[in-house]
Amino acid sequence: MLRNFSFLLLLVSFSLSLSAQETDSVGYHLTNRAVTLSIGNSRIYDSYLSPLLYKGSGISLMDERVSFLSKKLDYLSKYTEYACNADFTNNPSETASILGLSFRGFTGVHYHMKPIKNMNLMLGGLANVDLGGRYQNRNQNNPYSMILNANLWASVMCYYHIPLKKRTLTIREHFSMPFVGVMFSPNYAQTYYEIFSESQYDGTFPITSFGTRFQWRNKLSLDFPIKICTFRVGLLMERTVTNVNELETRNMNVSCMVGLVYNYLTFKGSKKIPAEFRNPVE
Amino acid sequence: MKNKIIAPFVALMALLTFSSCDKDLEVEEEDYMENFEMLWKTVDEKYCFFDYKKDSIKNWNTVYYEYKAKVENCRSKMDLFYILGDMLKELKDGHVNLYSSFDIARYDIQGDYLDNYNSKVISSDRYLGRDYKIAGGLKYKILENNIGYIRYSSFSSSFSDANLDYILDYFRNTEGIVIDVRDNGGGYADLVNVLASRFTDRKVHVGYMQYKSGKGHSDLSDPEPIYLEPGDGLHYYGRVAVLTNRNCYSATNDFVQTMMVLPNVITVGDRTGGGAGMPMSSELPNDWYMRMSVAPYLDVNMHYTEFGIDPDVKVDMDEKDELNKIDTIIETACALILNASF
Repeated sequence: MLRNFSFLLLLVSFSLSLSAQETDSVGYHLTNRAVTLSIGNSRIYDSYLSPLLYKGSGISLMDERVSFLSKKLDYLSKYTEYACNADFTNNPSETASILGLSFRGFTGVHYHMKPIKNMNLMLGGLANVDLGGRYQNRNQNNPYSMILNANLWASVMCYYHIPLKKRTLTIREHFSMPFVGVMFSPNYAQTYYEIFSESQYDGTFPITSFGTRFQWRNKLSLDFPIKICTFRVGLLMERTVTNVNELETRNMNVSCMVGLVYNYLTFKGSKKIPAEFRNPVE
Repeated sequence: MKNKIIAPFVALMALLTFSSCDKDLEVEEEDYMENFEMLWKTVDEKYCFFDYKKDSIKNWNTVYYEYKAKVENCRSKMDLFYILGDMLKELKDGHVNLYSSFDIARYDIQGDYLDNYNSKVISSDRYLGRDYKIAGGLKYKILENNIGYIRYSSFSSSFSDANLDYILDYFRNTEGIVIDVRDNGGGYADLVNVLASRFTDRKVHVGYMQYKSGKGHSDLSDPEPIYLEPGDGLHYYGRVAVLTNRNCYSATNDFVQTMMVLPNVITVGDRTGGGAGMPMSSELPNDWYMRMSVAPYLDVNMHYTEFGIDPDVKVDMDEKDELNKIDTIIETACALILNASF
């Protein structure tokens, strides 16, 4: 188990090592931030909890930030995302339910390209951690299924700007897919009592890749400024299929996103704030 | 250029979305055969005692064909329930149940065994009477022969460390303790160690645990040893007799198995009911749900105790004693304690 984690930490630290670079050139780079709420359909299949497909709704609150990695390297940007998700699903006869709650964080780096005018194509990698659980309200010794995984993702993001007379619309497409990771899973019919009370952790943190964890995530959105705000509407789709320890899970979420987008500048640390900026508390 | 980027991407998204429909998981809720197939398959893949019981239960594939024919001729949902319930009884396991809103299908673990417990006798003045004390789920009293008596009727009735401290302090000058777990059908497995840990002063190897590690009938994990460690609070190292009967099941069977390892403990009464497989739940498309054993417990000699544990001293209730409101099993246990027979 420790070896699996060490392997993953090595990969994560490699992907994040780029962010350690700093330069002192002049010029200010903004951080683009979007806070969105997604509501939509959710499907959960977790063979540890039930052999049936549960259907219902899901809600998610997401905070995404894109900023340049450093002032000089304006072809590399840093991406971070935090999201809280909740799924409320029922079995086919609607006599039992699965409640899913999870928190997830992403961070990573993208390389910028401009293949055509007004388009910003970004290719990169992300690392993420998911933490949460599912609760089935009718099971006796197996009511919980813990969600704990960490993955490395390939990520493609594309911004296409459509200049109009008074404003510019932005279409954003973000597709990502994990290629390696580690996840928690009980052994086939092992109860959580045995894992945590009897400390039987063997085989509960397998390494995953495409064959054992097939997942993709797609966010298509449109940003449009109206007066003092820039709004975002979009479609969020995410599919996860895992197959480890002879246990299968499937998850599908299709949600409509709505939120706000804004750009901001951060001054932090011991450096002096440039004279053209005024600090309200000084 | 724009189309060269967009077209393949749209095609990829269409393909991914189409492949995510999960059509293979769609079910017909009231289809009798579909419910039967799912129940049979779930048990086939998850039940943990097929190998152990291969000489005492029917072959599960034979069961499939036998009951499939019955389901094909089934005319009502209620009939289906009892057919499926009978199929589960073929496993001879009290931890295998099918639950509906009108009944629970279950295997009769008692069979031809005697009751060996009479609550009216226990309620008589000779034993608990009316002036017993209650600490959590435990009733207790010092009997006339200066032996502490604890009646614990269900491991689903919880108790705390403080409860045990008060009881053991109250019993500190007794000749011994009788723990009566007859007719205790089980409950919370973690309470087994909480109670048993007050009767040992050292870490003791008490058995093994396995779990179903795959879908094959023989796919069981290597047995992992389980230990009993001394609990916090007051301990009792005097003589202890644990009373058993056929309705000591599941967590209670585990409690008896654990206590038997301790040198100051003797078990008295009848064979326990077994139930040495921790159950897990599952469900069927039509809203019924079920449970089945998936993780076996083994005793310290690596024997399954699924079919029960024989007591150290086998005693049945005497009918004449019972009429006179005397519990033969309690009396035997008290005599063993007073005569320092173990």
